Amino acid sequence: MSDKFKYTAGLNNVGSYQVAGSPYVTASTVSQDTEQEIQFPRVTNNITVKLDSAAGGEVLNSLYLSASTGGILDYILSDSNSVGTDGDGMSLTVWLSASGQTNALNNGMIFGTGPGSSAKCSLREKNGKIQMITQNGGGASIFAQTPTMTSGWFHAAGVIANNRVQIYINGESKAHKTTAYTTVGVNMGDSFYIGASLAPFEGEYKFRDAIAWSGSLSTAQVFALYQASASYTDPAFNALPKLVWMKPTGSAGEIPPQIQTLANHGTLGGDWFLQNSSSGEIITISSESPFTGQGGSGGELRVHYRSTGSLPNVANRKHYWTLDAQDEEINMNIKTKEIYLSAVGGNCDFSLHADMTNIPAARMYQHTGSGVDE
Amino acid sequence: MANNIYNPGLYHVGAYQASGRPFGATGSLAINGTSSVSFPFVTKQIVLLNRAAAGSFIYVQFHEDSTTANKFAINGGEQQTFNVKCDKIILNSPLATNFTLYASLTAITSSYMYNLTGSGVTE
Repeated sequence: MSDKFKYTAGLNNVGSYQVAGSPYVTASTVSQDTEQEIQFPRVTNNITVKLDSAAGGEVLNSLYLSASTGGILDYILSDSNSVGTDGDGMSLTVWLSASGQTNALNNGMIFGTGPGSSAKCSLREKNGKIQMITQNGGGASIFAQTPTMTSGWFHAAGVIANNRVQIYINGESKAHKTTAYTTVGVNMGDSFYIGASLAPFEGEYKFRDAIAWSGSLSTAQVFALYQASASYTDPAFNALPKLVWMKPTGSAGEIPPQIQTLANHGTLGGDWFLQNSSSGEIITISSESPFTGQGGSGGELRVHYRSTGSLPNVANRKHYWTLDAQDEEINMNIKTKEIYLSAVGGNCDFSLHADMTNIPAARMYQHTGSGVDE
Repeated sequence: MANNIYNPGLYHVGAYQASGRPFGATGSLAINGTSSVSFPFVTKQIVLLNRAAAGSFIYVQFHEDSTTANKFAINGGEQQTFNVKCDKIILNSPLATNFTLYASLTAITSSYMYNLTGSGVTE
């Protein structure tokens, strides 16, 4: 049958708006200072736009790794060899949460260098304790340990210096070992891991601000870093050069392949790469954070019906609706064939769903005039 | 006589204006789990509550082959209302979560509903 005999509902056909619409769902990210146009295949009846990311400042989400008994799960820094030379010290600091942990990590690396079976300079959990462990020139282990915490967030720090291996929890020294010991670069310098490669990672941890420092932090510096929390402009974050720094910038709920790599914010090149994992393991970005005042990817999302690019009045006269808090949404009973979303002050993750009528988009006129672009 | 029983069609306005028949479902999703809820009649409204803690997202889609871009994220503790006609809804989550769902159903049997596909659903 020719199209000219094909009748479709008109724009003002009341019944088309009274029946439930067919769904239209989309989710994406609007980059800072850009605009995204969404075109609907048919005229809409209702549209809901929700801001998924939190606004206002740095993302403070955490990396959540959980593996079953015997599991192998690790991120490795792609460029992390030869970071230590004889006589160097090194410090590791990380915010951890083991809340809800059901599998005791018995001999696995949490964060540091070494492939896991021979942790060379790392924080690891063993028999309910957190250890800062390294090796002497003969390959023998030297460690300081303290009972781990299984509820809430805590700040773990391990320091290696000449004649000293020390571990801190929440800025407070918990144990140290002084021995005739000189740091040996060949044993410290190895690949950086979060989780473990050769040894099982049976733990259930959330990680935030995993930093390897080039040198030995003093007790005062560890305490200052603990107190600085997420104030990244605090001088405590410049106490020593940071070799590696893992702080997730993704949105809560992201999973591989979105987080197959995580950016390294330290001086070493390369990114964190998910090297080993198996089915049933949890690898995701969690919105849980050790810090209050959770920030987000920074942007406020503006919803409007004409492009800001060609029509400056849309922005200048503020013909838009603003979403600026995580999970904030707007429901609009609007007929349209298109909608524009723009991000200001940072990237915005959003989800949108609409119920569409059976009226073809070609029947819809373009919105204009007062309240839209004048 | 059964052949003379007529049912309202998909675009019968009155079927959507009359109060709906309730449909409730509560369930859980395992890690990386998927759950499909099928409705005996065409829906006119679906309300979904993610009962998990904040940070545990449930992703809603209307077709098994929906792309990542066609999924609506609902954070833990949040609920969302969909005023759409469909005969099933598919939920998935990267974490173990619980959900509860309410739908208002029309008198239109689900066999009248077409297979949702295309822009906003599978592309």
